[in-house]
Amino acid sequence: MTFLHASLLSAGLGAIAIPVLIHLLMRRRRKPMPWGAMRFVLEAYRKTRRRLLLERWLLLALRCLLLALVALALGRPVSNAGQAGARASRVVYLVIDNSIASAAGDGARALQRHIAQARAVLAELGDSDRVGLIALGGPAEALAWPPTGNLGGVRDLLDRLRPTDSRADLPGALRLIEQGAADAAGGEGSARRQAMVVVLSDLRAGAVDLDTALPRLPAGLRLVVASPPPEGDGPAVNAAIRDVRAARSVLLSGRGEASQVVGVTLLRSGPGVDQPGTSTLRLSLDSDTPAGNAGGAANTAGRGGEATLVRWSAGQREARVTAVLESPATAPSAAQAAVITARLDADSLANDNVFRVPVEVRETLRVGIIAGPRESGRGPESLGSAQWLELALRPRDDASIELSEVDPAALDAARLSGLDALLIADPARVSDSDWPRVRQFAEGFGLSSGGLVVIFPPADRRVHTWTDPMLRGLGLPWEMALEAQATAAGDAPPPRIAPGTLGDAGAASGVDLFAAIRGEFADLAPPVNVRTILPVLGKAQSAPALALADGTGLIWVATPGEGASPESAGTSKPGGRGAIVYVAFALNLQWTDLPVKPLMVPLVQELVRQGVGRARPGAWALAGARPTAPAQSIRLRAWGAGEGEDASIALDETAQPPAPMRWAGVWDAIDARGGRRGVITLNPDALGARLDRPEPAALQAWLNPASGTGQAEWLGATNAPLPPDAAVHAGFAELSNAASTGQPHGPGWLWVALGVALFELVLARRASHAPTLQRTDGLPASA
Amino acid sequence: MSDPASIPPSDADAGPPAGGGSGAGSGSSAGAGAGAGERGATRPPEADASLYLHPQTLARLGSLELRAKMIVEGVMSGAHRSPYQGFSVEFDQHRPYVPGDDLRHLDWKVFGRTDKLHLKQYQQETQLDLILMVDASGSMAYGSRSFQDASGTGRSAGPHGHAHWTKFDHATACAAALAYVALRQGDRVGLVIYADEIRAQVKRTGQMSAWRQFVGALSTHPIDRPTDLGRAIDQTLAKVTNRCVLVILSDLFEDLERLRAALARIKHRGHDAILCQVLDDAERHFDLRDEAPFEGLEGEALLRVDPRAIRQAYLEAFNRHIEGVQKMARSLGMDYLALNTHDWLGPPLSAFLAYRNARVKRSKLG
Repeated sequence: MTFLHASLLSAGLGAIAIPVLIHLLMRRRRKPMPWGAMRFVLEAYRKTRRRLLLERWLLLALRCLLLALVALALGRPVSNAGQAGARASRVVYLVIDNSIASAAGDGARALQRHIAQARAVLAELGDSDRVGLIALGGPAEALAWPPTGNLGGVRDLLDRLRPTDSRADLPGALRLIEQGAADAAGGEGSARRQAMVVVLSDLRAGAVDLDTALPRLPAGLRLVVASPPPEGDGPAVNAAIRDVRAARSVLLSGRGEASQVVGVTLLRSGPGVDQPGTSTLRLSLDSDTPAGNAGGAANTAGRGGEATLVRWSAGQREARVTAVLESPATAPSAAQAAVITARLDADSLANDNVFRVPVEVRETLRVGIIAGPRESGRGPESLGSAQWLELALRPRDDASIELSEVDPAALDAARLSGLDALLIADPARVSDSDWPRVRQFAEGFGLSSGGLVVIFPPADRRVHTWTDPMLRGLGLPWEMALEAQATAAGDAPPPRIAPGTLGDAGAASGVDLFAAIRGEFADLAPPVNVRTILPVLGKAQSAPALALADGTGLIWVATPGEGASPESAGTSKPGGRGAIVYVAFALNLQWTDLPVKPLMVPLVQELVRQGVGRARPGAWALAGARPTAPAQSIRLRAWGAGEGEDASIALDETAQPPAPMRWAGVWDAIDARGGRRGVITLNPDALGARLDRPEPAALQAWLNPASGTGQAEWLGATNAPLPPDAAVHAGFAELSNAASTGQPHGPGWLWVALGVALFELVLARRASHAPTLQRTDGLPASA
Repeated sequence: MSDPASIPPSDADAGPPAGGGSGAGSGSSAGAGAGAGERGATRPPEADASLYLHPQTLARLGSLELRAKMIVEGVMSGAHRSPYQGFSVEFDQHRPYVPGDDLRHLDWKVFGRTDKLHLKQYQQETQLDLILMVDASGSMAYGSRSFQDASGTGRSAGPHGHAHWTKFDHATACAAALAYVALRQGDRVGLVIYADEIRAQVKRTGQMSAWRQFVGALSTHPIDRPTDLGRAIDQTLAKVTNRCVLVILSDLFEDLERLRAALARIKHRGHDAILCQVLDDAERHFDLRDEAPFEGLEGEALLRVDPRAIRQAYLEAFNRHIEGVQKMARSLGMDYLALNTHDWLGPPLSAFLAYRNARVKRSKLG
C-alpha cells in the first residue's frame, strides 16, 4: 500500500501521541485528598477496578485509533494488492478540445495550449502505457483508437490538429470512451490496467451544456480535467454570426434583382461583454465564377459589402441586425451559384466571423396553372381564379415568370418536373389518384429541389368533396370544411384583414413568405374584403400565414407529408423540400374583392416567388453536421478548389457525406455527369464559440456524475506558478502514480473514522460517570 | 443529681461572653449572653439555646470547655429535664420484710396503715456510671466543612491547626456536653479516648469540678491508627465492676462482625450502651469530582481513582454498613444516634435524650 500524501499521514500518526500525552498528564502528581471512609472507597474500587481499567484503556485505544484512521484517510492510501509490486500499465484517454472555441486567443490559441498539455501527459507515460486520443470538435472524433502504445504516433496526430468550426462534443467523447472501455473490459489483461480520462479543454460556455447530463463513465474510470487558465489570460470578447436570413432565397436574374434585405443575428460573449463595444458587419453576394475562385482559400471574392456598424451596449449578448445587400455591379447569372456572405471584423475568435447562405439564381420561374373552365362573360365578375392569377403574376410583359396551363388529366412527372410552382385554381379537377403525384412534384420527384403547390378552392361548387383526397394525397394534417362559409353573419360587414395578422409562416424554415411586403401591408390590407372562405377546421399545427382580424385563417403553409413527420423548427435542413400553400378563398369577386385591390399583385407575386424559395430551403448547415445534398448528387466539391486538387467528398446513397463536416465552407453538389445539383454551405457554430466561463460550482456539479469515481478531478491548479503544460505535467505525474497503484481509499477510511468517533463518544460519555439529573443517595434513615 | 429545670434563668440571660478558656460557670454565662444578645431578650430560652448548639456557634466560642457548657445549657433548657436523672435511685416497689433486711428501708407509713412490715425497694440500688468512649482513630480526623465556616469567627484553623471541622471535633463536643450533663446530675462519669487501644482516660468521678479534667483530656487530636473498639472495650470493662452506661462516640468504620462481638460483650456484662455514630456529609454523599488520589487516614496506601466512577459502589457499601450498624444496635437493645458534622449538635442530642428519657419512663411504668 502506498500513500498519496505521505506527509499528512506522518503528521496524523504523530498526532496519536496527543491522547497518550493527555493520558499521562492526567496521571500527574496531585495533592492527595485525605479520606476517612477509606474502607468503603477500597471496597468500591475493588468491585469496579476491572471495569474502570477496561474503560480507560479502551478509550485510549479508541482515541489513538481514531487519529490513526484520520491520518490514514488524509494520507489517501492506495492499495496495490494483486499486482505483486509491479507497476500496472495505464490507459489514458486524452480528450483534447479542438472545437471552434479552441481557436480563441489573442496570441497563442487555446488549442496550442491543449496540445502542449497533451504532450506533457505523454511525457509522463511509459512503454507499457496506452493512449487513446479523442478530438472534441463536434461530433467527437476518435483519432487514436483503440488506445495505442505508439506514443510517437499520437504526438504526430496532435501536431496535425487544427480547430474545427463546430462546437465541442464532450458527451460524444465520453460515450466513445464508455463504449471503448466496455469493449476493452472483455479484453485480455484489461483488469490489470488503470484508466483515466484526461480532458484538455477550457470548458467555456460554448463547450458546456449544463442542461444536458453527461454520460457516466464506467465505475473506477477517473475523469480528470485540466484546470482552465486564469480569466485574465483568456480572450476578452468575441462576436459571432449565428444566423443570416435573406428576404429572397430565389433571385431572378432576368429582373436584375440582387439587392435585398438580409437579417443577421449576432452573438457576443466573453469576459469583456460587460463593456460596450462595436462590431462591423459587411454583406456580399458571392458566386463561383472562375475569376472569383482564383483566390482559392476564400472561396469567392465578395461583391458589394457596405459596412454596417453594430453597437453593443454593456452586457448585451445578442443583436438582430437588418442590413441591405446592395445590388452588385455584375449580377450573377442563372448559370452561377451564389451565396450571401456576412462578415464581421476581426476579434478574439476569427473562425465565427463569416456566415454564408446560398441563394438560388434563376432566369425565370416556371409556373403551371390548373384552371377551371373559363367563363364566357365579360367584365371582372366573369374572371376565374386562373385568370386573376395570370394577371397578377404577369402584370406587365415580364419574362421572369413563365406561365403555362396544365391539364389535370395529364399530371405526369414529365410535365410537372419542369415547373417551379403549380397553382391549382380548381382542385376539384384533380382526380383522387393524382394528388400523390402532386405531392411528388412538391417533393421534387426525388430529382429536383422541390416545388411549390398553391391551392385555391373553386368558386362554383357548393360541396367540396375534393378536400379529403387532397389532404390524404399531400399528407397534410389538416381537417377542412366541405362547404364554403361566410366570414360574417347576415348583412354584417366581413372582418378585415388586420395588419397584425400577417403571420410569419415559413420564417422558421428560413424563408418569410411576405417579408418583402411586410412594410406596406398595413396600407394594402384594410381595403380587402373576404366574404366567403373554405376554411381549415380545428387547430392546425402552425399558425396561418394570413388571417382575418377575428383569427380566421386565410392562407396556410405546410410541407408535404407534414402530418406523418412534422418538420421541426430551427435551422434549415438541407434536403427538406416542397411547400404546400392553401388559400382559403377563391379568386372570385363573389368570394373576395382582393383581385381588384392593390394587394393582389404583390401578394400573389410574393406567394409564388417566396413560396418557391420556401420549397427549396437554403441548403446550409452548421459545422459538425452531415448535410444532405440534392438528389442524384454523388460528391461535394469545395468552392475555390482547382481541378487538380482533391477537395471533393464522396456522398453515400442518401446524398450525405460519410463523415460529419467539421469545417465551414461552400460546397457544390455534383452529380454523375459533372453538373451542379446545388450549393451547400457549412457555417461555424456561433453557440459553440461562446467564450463565457460557466460558474465553477455548476461546472463541477455537471462533471461529477460523469466520473466513474463520482468526483471529477482537476489537473494543474490555476494558481500554480508554472506554465499550463508544466502544471498539467506535475499534476498528472501525481495522479498517474496514484492510478498506477490503485484507487485511493481516503473517503472510506473517513467513514470508518466517523464510526469509531461515534463509538468513542458513547463510551466516553459512559465512562465519564457524569451525574444525572435525578439521583438518590439512598441513605438509611438515622435513629 | 440536679434537675435541669433548676438552672436559673439568669444564666441564660447573662451578659456578653468574657472570652474563651473560662470555667464552667463563667462559660455558661458567656455563652448564654451571646445568644441573648444575638437573638433578642423576648425569645424563648430554648430557641437561644438551640442557636448556641450549632457547631458554628460552638466554634465561635473558641474553646472546647465553653462549647461544651453551651451545649449542656441548650439541652437542658430545651428538654427541661435531664435524661440522666433516671440513673439515680428511684422508688420502684414494696416487698415484705425478711429477717436481715436493713430496717432503714422499712416503710413506716405502710406499717402504720396495714400493721405489716414492708421494705421500700428502688429501681437502682447503686448509682449508674457513665463512661464516654471517644474514638480518636485516624478516620475521625476527617471533616469536609471548613473550620472557618463552622466557627464563623474568621479563624481558619482549629486549636491543633486543622482547617476542617472534623468528626473528632464533633465527637468531643458531644462527649463534653454529655459529661457536663451527667456531672450536673451527680452521676459518675468516666472518659476513655481510644483508637487501636485506650490512649487516654479519666477515671470515673462525680465531682463537678472534674469536668475541666474531662475537657483537658478531650483536647487532643486523632492519631494515625485504625480503630479496635473490641480491644478498647475489653480494656475498659476490665476495670468496671458495677453497671455502667457506655456512650461510644465513633464513626464505627470497623468490620461489622468485630463490632458486633465487641458490643455483645458489653451487653453480656450487663451494661448498657449508646452508639453515637459521627459521620460527615462528604462521606455520606461522596459527591466528589476532583480526581486527586485518596489518602487513607489510618495508614492506607494512596488510591488513584475517579470518584465519579466508583460512587455507586461506594454508596452501596457505605449504606450497607450504616444499615448494618443500625440493625446491630437494635438487635442488642442499644440506642443509636447518628450525628452529622454539618448539622447542629443540639437538636439531635436533645431529641435523643428526650427520647431516651421517655423510654426509661415507659419501661418503669410498664
